[in-house]
Amino acid sequence: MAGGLSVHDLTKTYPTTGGDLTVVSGVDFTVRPGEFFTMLGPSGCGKTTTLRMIAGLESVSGGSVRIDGKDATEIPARQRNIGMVFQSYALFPHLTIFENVAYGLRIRKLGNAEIRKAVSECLDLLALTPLAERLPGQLSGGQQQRVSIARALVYRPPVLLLDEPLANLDAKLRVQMRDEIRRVQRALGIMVLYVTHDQEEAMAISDRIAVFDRGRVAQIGAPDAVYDRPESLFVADFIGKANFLKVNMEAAGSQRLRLPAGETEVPERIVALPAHEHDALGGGNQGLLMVRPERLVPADRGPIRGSVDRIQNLGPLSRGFVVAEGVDAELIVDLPRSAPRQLKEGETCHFDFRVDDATLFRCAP
Amino acid sequence: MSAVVTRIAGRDPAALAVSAVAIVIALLFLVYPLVNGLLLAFLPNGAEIAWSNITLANFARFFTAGSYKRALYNSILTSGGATLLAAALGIPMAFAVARVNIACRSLVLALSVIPLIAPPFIGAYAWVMILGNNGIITQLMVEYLGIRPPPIYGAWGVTIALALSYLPYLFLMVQGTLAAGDPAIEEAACMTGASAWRIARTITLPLAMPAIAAGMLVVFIKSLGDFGVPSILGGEMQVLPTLIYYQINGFFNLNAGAAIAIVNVMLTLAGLGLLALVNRRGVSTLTGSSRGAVRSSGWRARLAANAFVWVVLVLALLPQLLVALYSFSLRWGETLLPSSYGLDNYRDVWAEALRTMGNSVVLSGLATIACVLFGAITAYATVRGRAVSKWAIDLTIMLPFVLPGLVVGVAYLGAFNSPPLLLTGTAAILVLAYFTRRVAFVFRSAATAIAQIDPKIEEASTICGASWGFTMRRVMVPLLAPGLLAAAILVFATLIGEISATVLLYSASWKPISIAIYERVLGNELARASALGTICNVATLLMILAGSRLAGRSMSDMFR
Repeated sequence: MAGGLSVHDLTKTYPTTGGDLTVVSGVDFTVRPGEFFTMLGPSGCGKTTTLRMIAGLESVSGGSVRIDGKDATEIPARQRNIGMVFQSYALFPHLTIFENVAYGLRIRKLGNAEIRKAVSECLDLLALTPLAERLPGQLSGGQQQRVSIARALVYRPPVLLLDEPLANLDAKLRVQMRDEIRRVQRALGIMVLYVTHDQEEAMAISDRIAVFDRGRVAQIGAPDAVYDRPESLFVADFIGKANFLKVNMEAAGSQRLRLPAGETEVPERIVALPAHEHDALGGGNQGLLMVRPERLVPADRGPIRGSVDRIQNLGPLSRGFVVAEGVDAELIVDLPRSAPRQLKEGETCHFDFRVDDATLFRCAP
Repeated sequence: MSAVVTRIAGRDPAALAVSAVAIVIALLFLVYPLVNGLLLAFLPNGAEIAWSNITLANFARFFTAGSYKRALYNSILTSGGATLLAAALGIPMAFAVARVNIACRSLVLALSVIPLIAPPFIGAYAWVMILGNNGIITQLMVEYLGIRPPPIYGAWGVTIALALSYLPYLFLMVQGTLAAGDPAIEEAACMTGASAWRIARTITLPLAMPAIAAGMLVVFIKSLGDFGVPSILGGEMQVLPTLIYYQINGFFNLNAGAAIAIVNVMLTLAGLGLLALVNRRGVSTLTGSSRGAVRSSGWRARLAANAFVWVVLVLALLPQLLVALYSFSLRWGETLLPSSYGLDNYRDVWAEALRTMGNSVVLSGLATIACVLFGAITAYATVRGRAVSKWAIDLTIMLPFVLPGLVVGVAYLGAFNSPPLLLTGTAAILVLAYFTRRVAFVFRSAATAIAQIDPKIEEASTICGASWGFTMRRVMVPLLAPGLLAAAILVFATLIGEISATVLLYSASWKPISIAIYERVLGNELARASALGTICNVATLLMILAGSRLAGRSMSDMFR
């Protein structure tokens, strides 16, 4: 797609004494112009390496990178005309905020008047104007991060890369800054490629998310899709909280699923697991039913029965940990604290869920 | 090394060219002279380098000749003794300064550096005035205690002079570690019910052990390589560096000198091996606390600490003070202090001081520039490169660090005394030898400074579109400048007083001030030597002061 960014079959291997170590393998995705695209995954899953290959800071072992419709795989980093924001901010400590932001423009040999104008606009956009003459060391973490965004945006790159930009900030500032990044992205209509290990952050700001698992893309989709319609156990488990219930497919015929305390219909959404996750099913004609904690509700009757072991107050929610009968798992039940029916520690009750809210994982559909 | 080059330079021609030049310099002026010197040791005097000429005769003399055996023994005795004496004085002093609330802390730290700035041999003969037959302390001791100290010429005097000259290295290292220690560790020990003595013995001392061992090693290596002090105070006693000197200057036997040099280096390496043994159980917990160490402020501790610190300081500074006093004296006979004062000595040496100091400034200045350029570039390649051949660079550069000055002198004499590399008798050979002696120090400072700069800062510059050269010029050089400046000043100042390589390599037309002073001491013109020495000391001190201001560091920080 012209104007976008795409990677095709991107691979990174490091030679080691015991054979090659593959940290990124066969990654494919396309970021559309103006899109906020996030690479999400646990540490060591290859998302940062992928970002650095796109930036040109890491050599590519296989596959290709296309920026704006042109093959950029062999172009040196400094000629790719990309904006990048680092986790550690990486500001130039000896230059003022103004000069930090102006840095890329000075390389592009713009006139002084032009530089002043462009930098001022950028500082304005990020509310940094009063700090222009300070040095980075005199700024707070959040301010430094805004400077590093301004420095990356000032020369109007077609794409902005952000490598865990909020990881060094405290919780409250993190939420504030992610809104700010989203606001700036919308204001400029720029394409953003974002890396994070924080699934809540990814859900909150992305147009689409690529979930990484051990060097591969496990799923690509909008936040709703990866949360509600995970395509693997890994994604279901990594994004949000998930309850897994082992079910036997044969016991009750093809229309019904047998659970320890009752039966339920077979959900419409049946997902065939990728081969490397088959072990989790434990052989036989087993399946795994996944239900999100907020979809389980206490009821007089239901397919699950268990006793409430303990309750945590999470502010808007109360989270109950339920030892379910006949299932060797602890289930999580989230109830709004305003809900009429609340759980009590020690009580035993049934839990129900709408079959549309569940996903059934099987070896084959 | 080529892997390193491509790794850091990428496809940038500027970076490639810079790296290539650095490799050529390393081969020509570090690797070649040392390898050549190594070969010379296995050849009979004056023989060509050939398989048939290889012999162990030069080494055999360590088993046959009494003078060789004694020199080896004396070297170990004086260096080992100096190390123990320095530890005995320096470690308690470090505890006192770091852990007790003493008066004038910053003054103590600044004064403690002075013995490092003043070349040891200038102060060496001052010990004659202190502990010699008619020395001040000797006179006082005989009069009030009725004891006569052992004669100053020989092992005793050399040991004292070496210990007090190099003690500041040990003191500063241990003091720094103790002051930076996380007080929470000792507080934790205290909470378990341990007594103060038990904490010191089981927690503080073991944690400071790496610094103590490293400090002692520095004193040992410096003492082992020192030529000036034993040549002035040794009397009849020879140590390895003086033996090298007399073999070369007395018997013109470069090959014997090279063999002695190798034995000298082996002793140094043995010291390094011991250090590695001590540091095998590496602990690195004494850093990273935002709180400084807790300082005891009981009056008994403060009194004892203050008294001890000042006694050691006065002892260490006494030689230089006496040199200054002597420089103004016209007559100093059998009396405790000079009987008349004047500026005559300064008038006599003024012209020579200007000329030789000018030579020293040019020679040291050029060597310093070379050290900074080369040291910084190789440090960058080593720190930022991820190639396997990193150790090769490390070794090439760090090796001369353990080499005594006379060994470098021997290597250079052997390597550059025939065309096409005929450098003996020129200023260039001194500049290059100085470069060889000090480049490791600059390399180490630069490597530390570079390692502290987040590599992402360079990447950010690249992403903004900067070339390698632009990133170096606009980002790395400005960031490294203060650290490099501090290292450069230190190198420059210590080269002004360099004597052990200089004494083999200098020529009359480029005589540096250190040699001018040395000649006058040997010629027994002590008052004039003192005047020259004082000029040298004051000039060096002023340069370091100015430099530490520029670099924004305290003087004691610059030596750590």
